[in-house]
Amino acid sequence: MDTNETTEKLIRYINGELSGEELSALKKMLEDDQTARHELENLQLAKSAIRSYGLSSQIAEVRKNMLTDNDEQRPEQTGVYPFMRNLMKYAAIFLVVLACVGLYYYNITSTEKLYTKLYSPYQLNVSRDASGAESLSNSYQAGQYAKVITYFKEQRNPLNKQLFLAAQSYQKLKDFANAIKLYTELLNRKTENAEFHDDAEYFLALCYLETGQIERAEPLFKNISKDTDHLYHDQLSSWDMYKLKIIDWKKGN
Amino acid sequence: MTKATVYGDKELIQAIKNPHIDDAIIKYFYKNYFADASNYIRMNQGSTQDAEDIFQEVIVNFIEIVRNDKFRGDSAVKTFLYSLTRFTWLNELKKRARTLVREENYHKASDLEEKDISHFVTGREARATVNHIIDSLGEVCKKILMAFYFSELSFKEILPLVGYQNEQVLRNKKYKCLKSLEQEFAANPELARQFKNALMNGH
Repeated sequence: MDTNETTEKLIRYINGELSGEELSALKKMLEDDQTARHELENLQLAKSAIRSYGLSSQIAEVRKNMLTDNDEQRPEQTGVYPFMRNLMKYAAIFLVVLACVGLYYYNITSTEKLYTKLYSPYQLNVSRDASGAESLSNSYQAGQYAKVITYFKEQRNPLNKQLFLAAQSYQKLKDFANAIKLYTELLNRKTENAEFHDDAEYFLALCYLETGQIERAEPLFKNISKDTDHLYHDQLSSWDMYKLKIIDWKKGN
Repeated sequence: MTKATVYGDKELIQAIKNPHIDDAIIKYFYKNYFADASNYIRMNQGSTQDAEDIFQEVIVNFIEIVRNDKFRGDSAVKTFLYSLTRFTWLNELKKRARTLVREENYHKASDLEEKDISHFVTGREARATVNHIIDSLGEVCKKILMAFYFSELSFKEILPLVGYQNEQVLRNKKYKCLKSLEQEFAANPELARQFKNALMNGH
């Protein structure tokens, strides 16, 4: 039997195509022929290799179709770890956005801007007062702040209102030192009449803010913010308090 | 939309033992076991593509283990596949020689059951080499050999797939293709030995 013929027989054998005498003859030949036995073994290995390769190809094809058809949820979108990863991704995005917003407000927040937002000159109600106070009030209403101060200086025992309007006038004229002095004086008065007390507290805080004395402004603003009965409670938003905090940070306190 | 079949472990094993694996079984593997395997690989320096490649290898290996009656059923299929995935991936890392730590982990690995499983991943390189050789046979050879030995089609059925004019031409071609592959084993007895061991799952 020549080599090709032997190989042909061996292939037919591994294909299960031999029977009867052909099969018996081949088995007998294999007993005597070591080379043929080796060839048979390698042919069987080749057959197994093809089957194994075929299985891999089938699996790869099925998987490819699964992914193409979107027949299943992608593994990256299932399970606890992917969920956590998504959660962390969104948390990271949120933190970055928060940091950007924080940085933006950190940069744009200043004492001047906060002061401008919170300050509006006191509007005096139209009323008739005692003569000295009336002249002072009239001047205040007329926007004659220097005159208000002149009238104020003439008073030996100024009323709370006169004291307050004079302080307002100083504040209007950007003389914050004197404004602070008069507001403080008003707040220190131990009288039963607490007239203009809340107003003085608020405007004093503003004077401190404008002059960069945040450490003094902050407790006053906090009091106003906490005290729901305070006349100026509604003037301050939580955001204003955050801005105050930012200004404080910027000052390095 | 068709409802996916749910297999118990015994049914799954029985289905795998059939000469032809239904595509539904393969899908079942992916739908039920891939997520854990993928998570493990990706959490241990692997990429998504690594997970795909390794899990495909694990399925082939598992099917052959079952067909060789080497799966004793001491543990659930899910547990077995997870262990097989771990060992295959650690073996891959070892092959890539990425870290000594990983190698130590591989050797230290765990309990008796896992040590029992570790031998199933031997011969991975031999398998890869043989697959590479089959690839190098060319598309026509692959098509003919796969159709004949894997899909178990007759020559008559294969004929239109390759466009040959008659069966004799096809027979001759198939003979040459198979002989080429056989000669690769004959020329490399060590590869043949390792591949044979791999097919027998390390025994």
